Parts: sequence; C-alpha cells; structure tokens
Amino acid sequence: MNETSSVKTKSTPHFAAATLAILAAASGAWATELTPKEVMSRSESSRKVSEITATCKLTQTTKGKDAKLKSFQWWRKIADNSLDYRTLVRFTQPAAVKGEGILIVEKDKAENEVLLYLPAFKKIRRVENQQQTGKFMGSEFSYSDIATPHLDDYTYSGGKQEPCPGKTHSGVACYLIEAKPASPKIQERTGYQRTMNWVRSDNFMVAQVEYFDLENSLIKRLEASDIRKVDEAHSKWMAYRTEMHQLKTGNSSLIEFVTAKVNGGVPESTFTQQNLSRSE
Amino acid sequence: MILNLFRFFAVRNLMSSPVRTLLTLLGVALGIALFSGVSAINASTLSSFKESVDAVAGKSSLTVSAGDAGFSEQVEEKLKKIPGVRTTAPMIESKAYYRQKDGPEAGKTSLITVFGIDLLKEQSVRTYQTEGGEVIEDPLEFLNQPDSIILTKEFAKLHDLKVNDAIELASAAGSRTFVVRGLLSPTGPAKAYGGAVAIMDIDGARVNFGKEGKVDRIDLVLQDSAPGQPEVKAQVAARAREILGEGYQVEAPETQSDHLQHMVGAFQGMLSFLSALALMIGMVLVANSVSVAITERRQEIGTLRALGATRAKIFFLILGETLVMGSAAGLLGALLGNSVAHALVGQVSQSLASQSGMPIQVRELHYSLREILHAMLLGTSVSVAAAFWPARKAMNIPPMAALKARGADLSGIIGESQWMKVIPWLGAAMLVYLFVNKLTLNLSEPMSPALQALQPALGVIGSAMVAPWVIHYTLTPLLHLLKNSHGSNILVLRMALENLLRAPSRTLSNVLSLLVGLMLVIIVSVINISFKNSVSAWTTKAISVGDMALSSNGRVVAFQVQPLHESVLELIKKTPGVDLSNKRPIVVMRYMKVNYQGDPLVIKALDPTSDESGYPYIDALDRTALEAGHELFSDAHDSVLISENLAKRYHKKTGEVLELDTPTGRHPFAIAATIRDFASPNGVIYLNRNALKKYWKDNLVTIFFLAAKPGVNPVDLQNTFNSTLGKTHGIVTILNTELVGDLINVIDQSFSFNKAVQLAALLVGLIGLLNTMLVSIFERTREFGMLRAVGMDRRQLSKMVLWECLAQGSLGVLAAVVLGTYLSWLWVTVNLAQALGWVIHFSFPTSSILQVFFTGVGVALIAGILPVLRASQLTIRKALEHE
Repeated sequence: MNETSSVKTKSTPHFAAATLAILAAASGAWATELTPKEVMSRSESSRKVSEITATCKLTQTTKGKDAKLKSFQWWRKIADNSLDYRTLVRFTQPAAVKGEGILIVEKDKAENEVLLYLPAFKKIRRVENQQQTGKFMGSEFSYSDIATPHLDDYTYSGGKQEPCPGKTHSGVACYLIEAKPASPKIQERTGYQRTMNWVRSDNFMVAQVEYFDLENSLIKRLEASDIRKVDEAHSKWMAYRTEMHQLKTGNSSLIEFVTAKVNGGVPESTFTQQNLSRSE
Repeated sequence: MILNLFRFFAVRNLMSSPVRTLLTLLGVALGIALFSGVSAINASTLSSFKESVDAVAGKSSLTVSAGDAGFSEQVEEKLKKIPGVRTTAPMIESKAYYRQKDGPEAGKTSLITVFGIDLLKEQSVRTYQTEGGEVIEDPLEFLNQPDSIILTKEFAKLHDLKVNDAIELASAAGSRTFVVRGLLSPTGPAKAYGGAVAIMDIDGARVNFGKEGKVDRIDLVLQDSAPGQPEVKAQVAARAREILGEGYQVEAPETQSDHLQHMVGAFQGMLSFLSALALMIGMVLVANSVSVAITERRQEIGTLRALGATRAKIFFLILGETLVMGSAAGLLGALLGNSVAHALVGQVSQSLASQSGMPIQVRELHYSLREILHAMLLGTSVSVAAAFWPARKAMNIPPMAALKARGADLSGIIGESQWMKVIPWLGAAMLVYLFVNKLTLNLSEPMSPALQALQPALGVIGSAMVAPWVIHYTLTPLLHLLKNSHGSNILVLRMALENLLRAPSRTLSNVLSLLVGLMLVIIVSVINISFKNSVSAWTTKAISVGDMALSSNGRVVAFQVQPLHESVLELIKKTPGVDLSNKRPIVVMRYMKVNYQGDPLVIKALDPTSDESGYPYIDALDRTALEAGHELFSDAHDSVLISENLAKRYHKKTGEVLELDTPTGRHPFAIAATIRDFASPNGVIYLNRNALKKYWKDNLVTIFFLAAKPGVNPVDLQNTFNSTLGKTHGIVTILNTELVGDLINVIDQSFSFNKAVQLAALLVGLIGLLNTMLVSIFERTREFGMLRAVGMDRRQLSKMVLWECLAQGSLGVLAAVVLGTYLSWLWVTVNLAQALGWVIHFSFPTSSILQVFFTGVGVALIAGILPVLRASQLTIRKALEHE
C-alpha cells in the first residue's frame, strides 16, 4: 500500500492520536534480543511520519447519554530536530466549537506549548503545563496524551512477550514494557505515575496502553487498531483508530481518521499563532 | 455533712422562694443567651468569611489586586517572570444579582459572586469538583460560549435550577441570559460566600462584566510554597510590589480576613458591648437576689454560726447556692443563645455585608457543645462574681444575730453608707472624663481598641454610679414643694417619697434595674435616629439634581449593583421625557472602592456637567457647591473633592494635594473642597470620570441620576423606562422618594438586631425590678402593719406603695433620659466618629424619650401590681406578727 492510496481510497482510515505508536517500525529485527528501551526506540521510529494532513472525527461516549461527535482538521509536522512535532487541530463541527483551534508545539524538557484559539472571543489562550493533564477537547484523552512522547522522557523496564491484547491484534506477540516518567516535571505534565505498553513485535506499533495515576491506580486504557503502513519507503505506520477508555466512569473516546495524507507538504506557517487565530 | 448542710441551707432556700429563684434564673439566662448568641454570630461571621477567602485563594500564597476597577491582564506576564513564582491564575470577581423568575419568590433578587477564571490554568490553584462526572461536560463548548456559567449545587437547589437551564444575571450590558453548563460540589471556591457563587471562563466574564482586557486579581502559586517557606513569599511579594509600583496590593489571603476584621470590628464590638450590658443587668439581678436572701436568713445564718459553722463555710455555702442557680441559668442561657443566634444571624450578616461591601454569608453557625459549655461557665462565673460581695457580708453575720429578731434590710445590695457618699463622685468623675475627652478628641488620631472598648463601659458604669444623686436631688426638692400642701393624697405621696429617701439603697436598687435597660433604649435609638436623619437629609440633597436613579438590578441604595457600560447613557438620552438641559443634567456616576494607605476608600467618579446646574449633588462644606463643582470638572488640572471624615482621618484639607495610587501609577490630585458624604466610614473621593478613565482605565457606570422634563410626571417617566430599558436591559428605575425610603429601610435593618438587644435588656430590667419590689414589700411587712395600726387604711397603704413604684419608675426614666442622652451624644460624636469614621449629627431622641417614659412607668406599674395587692391584703395582726 503506498501513501497516496492510503489517503484517498479508504473511507475509514484510523488514527492513533495519543501518546504512543502512530507509524510502524520498519525494522524486522526480532524482539527477543532487544532491551525495553530499544523496543520503545523502534516504536518511536515506526510512527515517526514527517508530515500528516488529515480530517478526523472524535466520538465521545458518555454512560447514559447520547454519543457526541466532533469533526476536525489535523496537521502535524516534525521539527528540524527530527524529534518534536507541531500539531494543529481545527474544529469544523458542531457549530458550538466551529473555528476553535489547538496548536501543540512540542519542546525539549517536557515544556510543551499548548495554545487554544477561541473564535467567540477572537483570542488565543495558553494551556498551562499543569493543566495539560486535563481533557483534550472534552474527550478522555488529555493534552499530554495527544503530544508525542519522547523516548528519553521515560525510563523503561519489563520486555517480556505475551499475546497482544484485543481481537484486532490476535496472533501477534507483544512486548510488555513499563514506562515511568524520567523527571517530576514530566510526571506533572502527564499526570501518570507509569504506563504499561503492549508493543507489537511485528511492526513495533503500540497495540494497547494502560495508564496509572499518581496513586498508582489504573485509570485509563488506550486501544489502537486498524494499523496501516502509510509510508512504504520509510516503513512508517499509523493506527487509524485509537480509543481511550476511562475505567472509572465507563466513558470512552474514539479518534478516527477519515482521510489522511502523509508527507504531502505542510507549510511551516501552519503552526504559527497567526494561522491559529485565522477564522475559517 | 457538708452535703446535708448544703441541702438544708442552699437548696431549701432556692426551693422555698420559687418565684424569686425563677425570675433571677430567667434574668441571668436571658443575659447569657444574648451574650452567647452574639459571640457565636460574631465568631461564625468571621470564620465564614475566612473560609471563603481561603476557598477562593486555593493553593495560592499571594494575591495581586488593584481595587474595583481591575487592572491590565498584561500584568500577569510580569508576575510570571518573578523568581519563585510557580504559576499565576487571573480572576475576574463580579457581584451579580440573580432575579428569581418564577415561584413564590418571583422577582426577589439575590447576590451571587461570579468568578471569571482561566479554566486552562486553574487546576494548579483551585479545585473544582462534582460528585462523579465532570464539572464541565464539554470544555470546548463551554470556553467558546460567553453565556456559559457553572453554579454550585447549593445555589441551584435553592433556586430550583439544573444543567442547561437559563438564568438571568445583571451584566455590564444590562440583564443577560446565561446557560448553566455545570454544577459544583461544595469544595474549593464553591464553598465561598455560602455557596452563592458562580464560575465562568475569564473571557466570558470580561465580556459580560465590562472588564475587557482586565483582571480583578491574580493569584500567585509559589515554588516550594509549603508552610515553612515564608522567606520565598516575602521575597516574591517584595519583588511584585517593586515591579508593579503603586496602585497594586500584594497580599496573602490571611491579610484579607484581617481587613474584614478591621472593617467590621467596631460594629461587632458595639454588638458585644450591648449584649454585655444585658449580662451586666443579669449580674445586678443576682447580687440583688442573693442580698435579699441573706437579709431574710440573717437569723438562720446566725444560728449556723452559733452551732459552729465557720465563716468560710457560710461564704462557700452561699457561693455554692449561687453556683447551682448560675449553672442552671447558664444551661438555659446556652440553649436560648442557640435560638438567639439562629434568629439574628441573618440580620447581623446582612448588616455587616452592607457595611463592608463584601458578600458575607454565614454558611454554618458554630454553636456546638463548646459554646454551650462556655455559656454555662459564663453563667456560673457571673453569678458567683455577683454573689461574691453579698456572700462576704453574710460570713460576717455574728452568732448573736440568731438571738436578735430584726427586720430584713436591703442596705447590703448596694453598699454601706460611706461608699454611697463616694460612689456618685466617682461616677461623676468618669462622666466628666468622657466629656473632657470629647472636647480634646482628635479624630485623625486613632483611639486604641482598649480605650474604645473602655469608654462605653465607663459611661454606663459612671451613669449607674451617679444615680444616687439623681434620686436625692430629685426627691428632696419635690418633698420640699409638697411640704406645705395638704390633703390625704398628698400626705400619702409625701410618705411614699420619704420612704424612698429613707432607704436610698433599696430605692437605688430598684431604679438601677430600670436605668440600665432604658439607657440602652435611648442610646440605640439616638444612634439610629442620628444616622437616619443625617444620611437621609444628605441623600435628599445629593439626589435633588434629578427625580430618579437608573442602574442595573441589585441593592441600588448601597451601590451594590453590577456597573453598566457607559453606552447605556445614549439609550437613556433617547428616551422621551428625559430632561437634557444643563440646569438639570443627567449625573453619571461610577462608584468603586480603591485602596488608600491600606484602607478601602470610595471613589465617586462623575461626568462633568455645566455650572448652570449649580452642582446641587455636591454638599460642599468649605466652599460653595458651584466653586467646588467648577474646579472638580476644570480641565486645568486633576482635582478631587474629599469627604470630611477622610479629611480628618488623613490630615488633609482644601488646597492640598491627595496622591492616589492607580493601576497606571501614583497621581497627584488637587483637593478642591471638603464635602459631606456618608458612603464610606473611611472616606469618599469625588473625581472627574475622565480622570478615572485615564488613570484607572475604567469606563463603567454604576448609576445614572436624571430628571423628568418640565411638565412630565416623574412616575410616567419611570413607567416608560420600566417598559423599555427595564425589559430590554433589565435596568431598574427608582424614584428619589423610593431611594430615600430604601435607605431608611437599610439603616433600620442594620439596627433591628440592636432592637432585639434592647428588648431583652428591658425584659431583664423588668424582672430585676419585679424581684426587688416584691422583696422590698416583704421586708416592710412589719412597717406596713405599724402604719395600719396607727390608722392608715388599706386604700391609703396601697396608694402609698403604688406611688413608690411610680416614683421609682419615674426616677429610672429621668435618670435614663438624662444620662442616656448624654452618653448617646458622646457615642454619636466620639465613638462612632472614631470607630466607624462617621461624622454624623446628633439628633435629639424626642420619640424615644416618650417611648422610654411610657415603657419605664409601665414597667414600674407592672412590677408594682403584685406588691400593691400584697400590701392591700395585709392584716394588722399578721403584719405585726411578722418576724
């Protein structure tokens, strides 16, 4: 599957927006020889797509209530350091949020900048670091879940292999890796004491993540599915469906790619405050 | 042995005079109830406010503010850069008024404090919670919709509101509909102000409350802000002050509570003092009762002494007896105190809120076991203290007294005759001291709190001490006048008066019971009347420029309303029937609080009007209104007019310069005149509104005063406004007459609590008088028998007792009127001016004096009914057999 066909021919491509794997690792090395950090390094590499332009939808399911749907445009581009991403989200539906935009600029030392544009006030607002554990777009994802985790921001342990959880990954072995924030600042930004990551041994994409809060209670579970190879040349992968389950309330949020275009050229000016505040 | 003696001596006595025991117990209990109730209210009010301040402050260690006008949101960036600051959280704090649409309370308004917060920053400062689920279902929708609001569950329940309901609140653009998008559990800021709070996103609050580009406060959370890091706090505070300059307050949350305590301390002190007086009357009652009981049991005590009881045993038996009665009174008082506190807490907190301009609401009245134990302890202590002196006298009763039959004597109640000569002089010295102090008083120098508390007490005690003179110098000339008059009635009257003079201690005891209660009535009435007369006369003058006032919904009379955008003026001008002439111009006023040398002052910023109007709303004291107004609105330089209390408090006078700290720095203003204005106990500054816009960057308007065109009925114009701006913008129109009426209501409301204290004090006085009257008749049984034996008939005897009662009542009234008027004059001109900052004019309490006269005489008559009946039923044989 080449990148063009992946964008245009599929009506329901999926997207793993959250913390972990988006693109597949190209390496065919066998995992048994890998340390936990090497597994995560390959995972990072497999999802590292330089540019993405996409249209997405977010379905929020709240127990006892009707599901709520939001649509948005998505632009993402890697910075010159080949590490940090810039991401712009602009909502198109429903009317109450139309025109709202979120710009996430990843930075070193866990100092991600998150800006929110509110068209009703024609104003850009900054989401403070401490607030980034809060809900992204009212979903079960937090702002920090949306940002890409950097390999060196965490320490890793574990690495044993077991069958990947979930039907969509049946028959595939997964590495089970525990990741802990490398500094209190990262812990503060993410709001997690640790995560348990199931990383597919074939393409190094994350199949499932479990999140533990600062009291070490399991609070959320992320399930990635519909994982597709989007860049044949560089062996990059994307999960087109990412669902986050809030275990305490039973609520969940599903982010799905409707269309996605990889490496199609995203100008630098996309990620400026000026563009963020542009009303559409 | 001791127990048996106690049972024989003390319990038997309490049980053998049930009426006296009950009356004494009730009197002390009432005093305790008032005192405990007031203490509980005072403590609960302050602790509720402190809880509110803490709840709003959250994790922040410092708060930056700059008065009602707010300040630029850009300031936050400067604060963020200060080393030691971990995070900052801006806030808009607005007082909105919710008008109930439906139900039995339709149309009723209630104050709600709206916090405009940055929801994208708040987590690090304050906590907002609901029971399960999220406070805001969809933050993106919430943030992007200016009509989004979150209420507390408490407020929602009280007003029958739920999520997605629409509510109407006053905004800067008039009344506006908001949508409830979440409900908060009572944690964090939702606990503040009794739950009457709402949360909005800061941008929505800015738009709705006219604070575009501004914030009202910024809370600073410090790094390592755990307790034990005061130096970090001090360093950050110092740096913030340095960066921001004058015009900003950088305070810790606890300082805000101190401010409130300072503001309402005097008022609370007055309440405590009045309730302490009721307690004092209770003490007099106990002293009376115990003294009476001792004189009645003189023989019994003598017998006990003859049988070997030591002096100490007698002393402790009497104290023990009082202790039992005091504990019972304390318990009853504690239980009654709870009811008193619950009944009055609403009125008191409303009075305090009016005074301080802060939304004080007592969430929980603390009246627990601790308060009950305190009350019991208090009851016991005051009773024992009151019984101490009579008990000392009792222990000196010699064994010989058992063998010597003699009549009871009340001389012990007040003291020995030698003391009786000295005491009035001491009392007079106290009253003269207060007078001299008044003459030499300098209002600009604050009086020490101890002296403030001491002065009223000195006044009351001094008055009580000079009462013997009042009795002596009233009765003696009266007797002299009656000397040459004849007739049986005159003879009976003379006998009655001579009886009173012959037993000065007994007479004084009866008069004192009434005196203190009636004096309280006069003092509170004078303060009330003086306040009302001064303020309403001034208000009538100040608003005479127009016929009515327009503002948003709220407490217009106290300026507690959401200010409006100045653009509303154009809508008003377009309304037919409004006088737009220069002679009766529309007076546009912004009312707001600013900080001056650490005190909250009021600014009234006015739009310039033409000299043609004559500026009748300026009550200038040292220049004409025309001169003062002309200079205030002159373009030549920035000017202010200052109120007389401000001038006195801060040593300022016309021609000098007043430097005001504003969010744009410190600016000098020439003082153009001194004026009279009662809007603030600390002081009021009149300012040209152009200066306010320039230096405070504030262009809101609190109130518009305007007149109807000649030929247009003001009521018709009011109706026009109600059907136009009232409907479209929720603007209320109040006629001048209604405004003055509202003002009087507010003042009366503030004093309603005091009236309850008056009533209770009178009741205690009545009980006291009844008690002593009954006893004095009892002790004179033999004397009455003698009188009957030498020819006085029953009618004459009854008349004589009645005259005695009436004379004592009249003496109580006379003493209360003279001394109460004097004390209240001192209070109005000294204590109020000192403590509250009011310079108000003393009004003679004509109606209160009449009220006091009828009450005093009435109380004396009621207290005299039983003794008269008893005297009339006495037979000569029985009376002579007595003792």
